[in-house]
Amino acid sequence: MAKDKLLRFLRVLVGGYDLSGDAREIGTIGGAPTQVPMTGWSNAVQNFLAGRREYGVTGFQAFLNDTASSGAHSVLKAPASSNQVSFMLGSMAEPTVGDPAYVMPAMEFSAPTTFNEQAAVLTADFMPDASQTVPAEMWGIVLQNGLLSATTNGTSVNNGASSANGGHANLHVTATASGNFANKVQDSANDADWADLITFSADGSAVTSENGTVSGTVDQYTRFQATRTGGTETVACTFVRN
Amino acid sequence: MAKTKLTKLTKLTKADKFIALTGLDNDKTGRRYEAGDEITVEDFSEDVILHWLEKQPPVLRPKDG
Repeated sequence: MAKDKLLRFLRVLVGGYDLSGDAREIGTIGGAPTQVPMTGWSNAVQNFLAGRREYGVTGFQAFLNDTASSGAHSVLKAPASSNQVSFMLGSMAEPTVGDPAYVMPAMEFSAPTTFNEQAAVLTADFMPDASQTVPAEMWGIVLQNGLLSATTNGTSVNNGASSANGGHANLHVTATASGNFANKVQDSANDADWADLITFSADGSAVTSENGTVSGTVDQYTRFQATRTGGTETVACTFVRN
Repeated sequence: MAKTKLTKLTKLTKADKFIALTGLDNDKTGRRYEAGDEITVEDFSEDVILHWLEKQPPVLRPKDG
C-alpha cells in the first residue's frame, strides 16, 4: 500500500510455474484505452473519446532455462497456448495478501529466442485470451501466496466498498505433496460471515492453474479459503473486481 | 428484482428458513454450511440474511420460495 514496488519483488506465475527465477526483464503491463479522435471542424483543440482498453503484458524476457516442465523455455517455448498468468508486485518483500497483481486469462504470443550479453533469452507477450472468459479488468490483488499444510482462512482484504460487476481470479498450484484441498475465494459484507464466491476445480493434487469468474455483487471484503483433506499445496491466488 | 424488494420489506422471523445456494461460513461458531443446507435467521443474523437475499446473484433463498 505504498510507493515501494521493486522489480526484484515482482513474481511471475505462468500456469502452475513461478518463472521469477528465470525472469530478466519486462516491457509493458498494459491497460490504456485506445484514443478515438473526435475533433470537429470548429473545435479549438484535438479531442478524443476513450475506446476499448488494451490489456496485455509485452516484452517479458526470461533466460532460456530448459529444465523439464518448470524452466522458462519449457513453459514458454510454444506460443499460441492458453494459460493463466499473474504478475504479483511485492512491497519490499515477497508478494503477500493485499499486494497488487495483474491477473489475466492469457494467450501467449511471440516468444523469439535471442542472445543478450551472451545469454540466451526468450521474450514473450501475453494477451487476453478469447478462448477463455475475457474480463473487463486485470488489476487486482493477491489473496494468497505460499505453502498450505492446514485448512486456512486467508487474511481478508478490505476494498472499502462492495462492487457490482463481478470479478475473476487465478489460482496457481505451483507445488504439491499429495495435496487434497477445496480452494475458494469468498466474500463478506461484514468481515465475519463469509459466502463462497469462486470455487476452483483445482484441488492441489497437481501443478496447474485455473481462472474462475463470478458475476454480480462482490462484497466489501474478500479472502482465500483452502479446506484441507490431506497433504500440502503451494498456491498463489489473485483476484480482480471487474 | 421484484422478489428482492419484497424480501426487503418483509420482516424476518426466527421461524423463517432458508436454503444456502453456495457455501457459507459463520466464523462466530466455526460452522460451515454447504449449498443445499438449511439455515435459519438465528444461525447468522437478520442483517446478514437480508444482505444475502438481496445480493445479486443471491447466495440463499427462502425455503418455500
